[in-house]
Amino acid sequence: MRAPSQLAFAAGLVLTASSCGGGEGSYRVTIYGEAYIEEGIPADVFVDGWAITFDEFLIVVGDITLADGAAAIDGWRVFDLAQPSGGDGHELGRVTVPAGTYSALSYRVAPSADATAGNARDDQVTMMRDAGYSLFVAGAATRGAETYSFAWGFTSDTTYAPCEIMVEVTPEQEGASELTIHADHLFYDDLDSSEPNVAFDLVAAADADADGVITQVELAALDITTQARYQVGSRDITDLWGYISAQTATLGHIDGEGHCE
Amino acid sequence: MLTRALASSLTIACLAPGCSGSQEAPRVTLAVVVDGRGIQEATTDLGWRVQLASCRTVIRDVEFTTAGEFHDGGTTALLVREGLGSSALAWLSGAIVANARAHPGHAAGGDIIGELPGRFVVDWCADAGQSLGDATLTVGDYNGANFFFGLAGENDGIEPEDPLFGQTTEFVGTAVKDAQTVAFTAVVAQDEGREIVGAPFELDVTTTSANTLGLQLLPTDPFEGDTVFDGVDFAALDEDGDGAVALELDETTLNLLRRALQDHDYYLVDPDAGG
Repeated sequence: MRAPSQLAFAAGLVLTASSCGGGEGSYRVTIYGEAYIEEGIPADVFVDGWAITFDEFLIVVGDITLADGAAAIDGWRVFDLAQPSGGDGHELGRVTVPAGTYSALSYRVAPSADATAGNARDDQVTMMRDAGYSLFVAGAATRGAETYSFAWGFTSDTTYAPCEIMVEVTPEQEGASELTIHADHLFYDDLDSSEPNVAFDLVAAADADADGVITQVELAALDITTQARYQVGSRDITDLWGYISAQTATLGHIDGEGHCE
Repeated sequence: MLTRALASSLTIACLAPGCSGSQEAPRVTLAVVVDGRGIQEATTDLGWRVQLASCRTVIRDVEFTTAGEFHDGGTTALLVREGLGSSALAWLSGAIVANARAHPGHAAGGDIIGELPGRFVVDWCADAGQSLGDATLTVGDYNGANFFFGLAGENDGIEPEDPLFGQTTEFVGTAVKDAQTVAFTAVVAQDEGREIVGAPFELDVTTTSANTLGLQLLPTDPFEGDTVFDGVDFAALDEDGDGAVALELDETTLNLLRRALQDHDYYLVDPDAGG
């Protein structure tokens, strides 16, 4: 992640370069969990044959900034990305911006006591605010007759800045960006590899009391230091809960597969 | 010869009024050597005193990193990274908005403004002082180093019968605890492309710098006191009691070693290896 001063300078440069054309236009920002969250992650994605469905995928998003902050979507909102969107995602808002070309957008996924509902229910918003969660995922993993359920809340605070975009805005042409959330990263088996596996066997093995429910406590009790996979590089992470929590910082993308720093 | 990535990064964008075009950033070449001073006896968390006699690792493409921004006289100068859009706007924004890294495999580690390209089989124990070549470094304040692991092959001069063949690291050494001595070997393979990011390297490089950079393996983490061999019970592995073990035969031990060797705390670039 870049130092704030650098980003501010970067954004200022972009705005300066982009405002030569004159006039203003509209910019629309959406958030989308893709089919993996709305419909589930199919078994052929996993190396060990599991499939995942999400009942809830709650995310708190804010600090959405285009260019130097003069164009920003105010406030923090809670979205349930598991709700169907017809492939369009959920609208975060529209702002009026100077016409021009935009090459950087930033956003943040973090707990917020001031968060309001995006498309989430009031009780979901209350739960996220009261628990201090930035992300809450609840669902089930199935493989044949085996089923495990999970409901995990994370307090991670991740700034995605900058995200690479290249969007032209004119008075006649609305700009748009999609904050894309990749749920399969939660189940990646390596924190650094560019080609990790998507796997669930080790997560399933954490169910110490064999009740079919995998809890945060059980994941935290699973030592990963002797695992062949689940490498963490130089990070001080030794248990599976810490590992999955670290993976939450990799979920955010832009416009599908676009990367953010 | 500069690689394309660094050659691109060495271009300076002039942003001050009246400044047009680009110019090359000042840079220096500094010798890089294998620095054996890091190899000291390590005492593990289980009380074993480990001494290495041979410790070979296949590495490639050493990179030197900084925060990525510096000032040249009255002109703000920014390092340009490769892989950005072709338009003037993209180019300018790319000067300070580096490639995205929120995806696994894109670990953050500062901007790369120096490098020693190439592939090396380094014996941290025996090659002290051996030259790895001359690194090219842009003038700037450095605070980290990266390098990639490789798997040894015939192109590295490693024959198939060599224990290092097809592996990344080979250790030969002894572990002593109380009255027990265990001779050990270990071979560890890392995934191709696995990278050490952020090994300590502190140096303010100027146009007059003439430092020799020493690349070290540190069996003991100087910050926390952990060792590469923590968790390895040499006695338990010596099931036949002959005083010799091959650590890689035990999967748990192999995984511990592989994980430890990915930790940047066990590596260092000493900017004063020239004495």
